Amino acid sequence: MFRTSLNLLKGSRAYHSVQHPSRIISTKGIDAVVLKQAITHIPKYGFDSLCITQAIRELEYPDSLVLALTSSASGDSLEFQLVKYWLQSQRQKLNDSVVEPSNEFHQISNEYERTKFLLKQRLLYNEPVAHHLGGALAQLVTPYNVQTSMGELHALADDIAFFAGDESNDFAWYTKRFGISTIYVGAELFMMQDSSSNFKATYNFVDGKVDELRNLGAGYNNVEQWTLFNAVSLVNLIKSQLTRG
Amino acid sequence: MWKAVRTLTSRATTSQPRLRDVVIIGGGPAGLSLLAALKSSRVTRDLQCTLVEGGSLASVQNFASNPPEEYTNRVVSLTPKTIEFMQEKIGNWAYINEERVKVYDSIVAYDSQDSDSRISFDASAIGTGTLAAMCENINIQASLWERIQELNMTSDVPAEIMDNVKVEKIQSPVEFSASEALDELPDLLEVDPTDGMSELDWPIIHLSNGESLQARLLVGADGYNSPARKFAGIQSRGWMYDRFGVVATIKLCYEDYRSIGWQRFLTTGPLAILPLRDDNATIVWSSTPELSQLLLKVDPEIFPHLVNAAMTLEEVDLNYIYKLLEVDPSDKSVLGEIEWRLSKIKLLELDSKYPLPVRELVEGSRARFPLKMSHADTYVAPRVALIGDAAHTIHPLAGQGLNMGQTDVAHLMAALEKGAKRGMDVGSTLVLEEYYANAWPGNHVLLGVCDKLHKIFSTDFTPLVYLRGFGMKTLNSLGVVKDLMIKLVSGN
Repeated sequence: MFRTSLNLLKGSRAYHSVQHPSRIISTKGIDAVVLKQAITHIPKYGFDSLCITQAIRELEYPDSLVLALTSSASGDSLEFQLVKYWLQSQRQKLNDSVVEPSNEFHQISNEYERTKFLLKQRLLYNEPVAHHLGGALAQLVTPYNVQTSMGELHALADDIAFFAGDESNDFAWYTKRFGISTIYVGAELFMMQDSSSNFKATYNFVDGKVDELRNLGAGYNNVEQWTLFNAVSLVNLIKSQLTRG
Repeated sequence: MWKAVRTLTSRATTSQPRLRDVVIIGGGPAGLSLLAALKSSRVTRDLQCTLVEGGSLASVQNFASNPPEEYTNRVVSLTPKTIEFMQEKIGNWAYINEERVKVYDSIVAYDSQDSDSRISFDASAIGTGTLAAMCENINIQASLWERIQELNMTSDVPAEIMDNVKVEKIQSPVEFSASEALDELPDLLEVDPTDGMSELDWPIIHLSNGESLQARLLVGADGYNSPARKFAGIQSRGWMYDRFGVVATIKLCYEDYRSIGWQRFLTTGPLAILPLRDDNATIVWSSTPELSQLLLKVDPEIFPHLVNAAMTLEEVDLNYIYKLLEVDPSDKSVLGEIEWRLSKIKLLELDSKYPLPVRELVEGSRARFPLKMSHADTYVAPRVALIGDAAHTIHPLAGQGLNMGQTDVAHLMAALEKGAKRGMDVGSTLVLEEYYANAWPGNHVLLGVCDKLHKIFSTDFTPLVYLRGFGMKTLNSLGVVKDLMIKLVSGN
């Protein structure tokens, strides 16, 4: 994508370690058990605390168990905890599907095509809840939740960039993640109002946006290359004239 | 102590290299020109010169006595300045086969997005009657060969040309190892006991025929992947254009008496039709990698029509035709598509504004090569000089590549002559640096101009299309500026 041509700046190591664990959510803990059950009700009730109440009933826990969530250390509201858990579990699902060796994703070699695939895969998980996404976004942009939401969005962009094959560890690292985040948010907003069958328009939107990013990347590289060439040439020009003594 | 041991062992293993004053690697126009120029000059003709060429020069030797019937596909443009240099300095112009040289007094370039935005350069501006001359590469090589043979007849020190001999390794005889630098502090008071016998720093060139040469001056005229440049540790910078140049020899419907070279700037790259003598012509079509592959495999019967289409039709139509051909490169229905579209253009316009239609393609003359821009950081290093493509490669859109090589030769010759006159060692940087100082800036400017032209014309971004159209029309009507440009390009 954006790859620096100056080898001096390019380190030998990637920013991420491939060894780092890819576990995002815990499955143990009473809150996790309840939330896991609760997200199955989102398609029906939307991002509402009703999902949690329903889950507790289904699991045949006492109603007072809701305290396990309302008194959580984060101090987040029930609704926001549900949204957060949902986002994290979807990210976990994406991670798990990518590391599966049989995934068709591994046949794609181009970094942009891989980015497209991952973005679309993530949006695919939204499909069952697409018409409740507005509720989730409302929770996410509430001022006291914004910090956590941005963190989650960045984590998603970071995952996608990493799995797409990003090796940069210079300024391009930020540019890429910012680009992917922007595309993802845009696509989600688009999806909320998408009336085409199977959200075709949303996926086309992603393709178009990633292609734009690619052109931007090519432009960035050309400018960088040209600037570098001319900087070196200026030095050479001065050198050539200095030989006259 | 170590030095002595090393000299002994190296002498024991390899035979003594033959000493030469100048060794030129590469028998292209640049290398042969330098050899002929060295031997023509009164100051430098007694230098012992050897030219080494990896390929065979048999076709070059036979060209004068038995030129091939069809034109070869490697055709270059020569500026008046280059011709003058060949006439007066090298003296090979007398041997050129002028039957196969076409002189242009006008060049027309136009835009694919708007065929009215065009610019025509006229030779009357510079008063020489010649704007450029088109000539086969091999014709130039052959004339240089003949000139060298002529000089060898009368010379005491004949030039030596070795073809079919590859350079296997270039080696510096003096290698400073780190341990040596630490162990032996130079004793400044020590008297060199073997005066004049100390080690030469001349590079040794090992050849594939087992021989080795040791050169006072090694000249790299060995193209883009120059071994000489690598030996000298000179970096070359630039970029690939992601474009290929497709060349082919074609036949026009009849001879073009207008002496005009045509170039159309398509967004995939410029396409030039350059008429030669009689009904012959050559094309240079810069194109994207996919398009160039298509052009090579298109049916030879369709190809001429495709060239006609590309010189006249709108790009939308062209893209449609490419798409048809991509499915089936020998799809004859394309001919109808092209003919129908061409019939929409007025005959009068077709006659006056566009080149003559192409009749057929000379079989087996299609070839492609990648386009790139590169410029070496410096042209000289101790005992090494670079000329031609070894020093710089350029986009072919202005036909400057060979001429830049000739300018290099002229500047290098001037520097060597000056050095020789003053009794200096021609391989020393003191002599060579003048060449670097004189040749580098001019080449840098030309590279930059051609690179910008390529970038401006390879876009269909609407505002830029209008801007360049406006620029071309304005330029075309501003006689003074245009004349200045012609003078610059033709080197006067």
